[in-house]
Amino acid sequence: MHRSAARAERLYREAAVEYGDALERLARAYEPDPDRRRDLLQEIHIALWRSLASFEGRCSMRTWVYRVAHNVATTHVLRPKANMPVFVTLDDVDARPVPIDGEALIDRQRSLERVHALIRQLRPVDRQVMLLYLEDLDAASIAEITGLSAGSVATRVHRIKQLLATRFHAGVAGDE
Amino acid sequence: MNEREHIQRLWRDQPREQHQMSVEQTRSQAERLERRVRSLNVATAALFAAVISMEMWQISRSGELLERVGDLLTIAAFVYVAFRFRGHVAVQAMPAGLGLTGSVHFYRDQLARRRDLSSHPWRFLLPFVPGVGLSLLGGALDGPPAQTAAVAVFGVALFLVVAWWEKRRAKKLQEEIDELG
Repeated sequence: MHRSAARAERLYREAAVEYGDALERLARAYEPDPDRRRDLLQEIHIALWRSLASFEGRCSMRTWVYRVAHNVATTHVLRPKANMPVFVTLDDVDARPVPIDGEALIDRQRSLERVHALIRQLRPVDRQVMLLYLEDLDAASIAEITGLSAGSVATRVHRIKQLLATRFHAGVAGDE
Repeated sequence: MNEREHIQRLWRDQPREQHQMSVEQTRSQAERLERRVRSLNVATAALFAAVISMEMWQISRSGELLERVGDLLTIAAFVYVAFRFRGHVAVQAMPAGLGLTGSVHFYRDQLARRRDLSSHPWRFLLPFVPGVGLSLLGGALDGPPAQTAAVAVFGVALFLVVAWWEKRRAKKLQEEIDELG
């Protein structure tokens, strides 16, 4: 095998181990349909595999992986579909608290589904910031991955925190 | 645990779906994708050539001179538009620079590419005007005036609706680009 191909394969192995779970979560947040989600995840892995031949270490591996993943997922979202959903901004998303019921307070699966539903409503840029925030990346890392200014990231993260607090406060309180 | 940590933990602890591919699977899928893209582009070119050949054969058999010239011009317009916008219609394995470009810049580039295609609809509509016009004129000389007028109105309306639709699409895309800042 050619040396550069071997290097790319080694990098891919490392990236797949380190970020495999995060990529699966990302695909889940972009695509609700299980079959299309599997295709999207496969597409992300193939893109990562191919892209690593040109990885020169100018940014961290984490930044590279998230850029590739979000760029592929955004292309996936923009593909014309029969019933194309309308995406909204963080400011336009419905921020009303989710109705509380006893079951929902302890049901993590339902809470997770609500988070997914919320994310899938968002426009690609807000969606990217929210997913990176949920992966616990700091504002500087989010800015590097997205290309947004630090100020813009800070504003969006602040809005995301408010939104999550409003929507999921009841669930949080019940889980503590 | 505060709210932020709770939601983030909920997010990161979500159950796996077991979609992981091995390195060997990823490699073979990547190679398969490249082969499929090449095959698709060859098939598209072959289909295009077949349609043009069939049209040329039909033109050679038809009698009316104006219609024949009109059809020839329409085919020429079709070839020109396909060549001019080949970069937009060719199937690509993956866009270039996926890891080099920030995700918002990448998104903006994708929107801008679509906007550019839609913002000047006459670039791909005008080449068809002479051919379609001559074909309509050729057919009109043989038919009743009312039918000719109806066909002419339909043709003009079709061009205008496509142009309006594309302009509207370009405007929406521009608004979305502007919102990105």
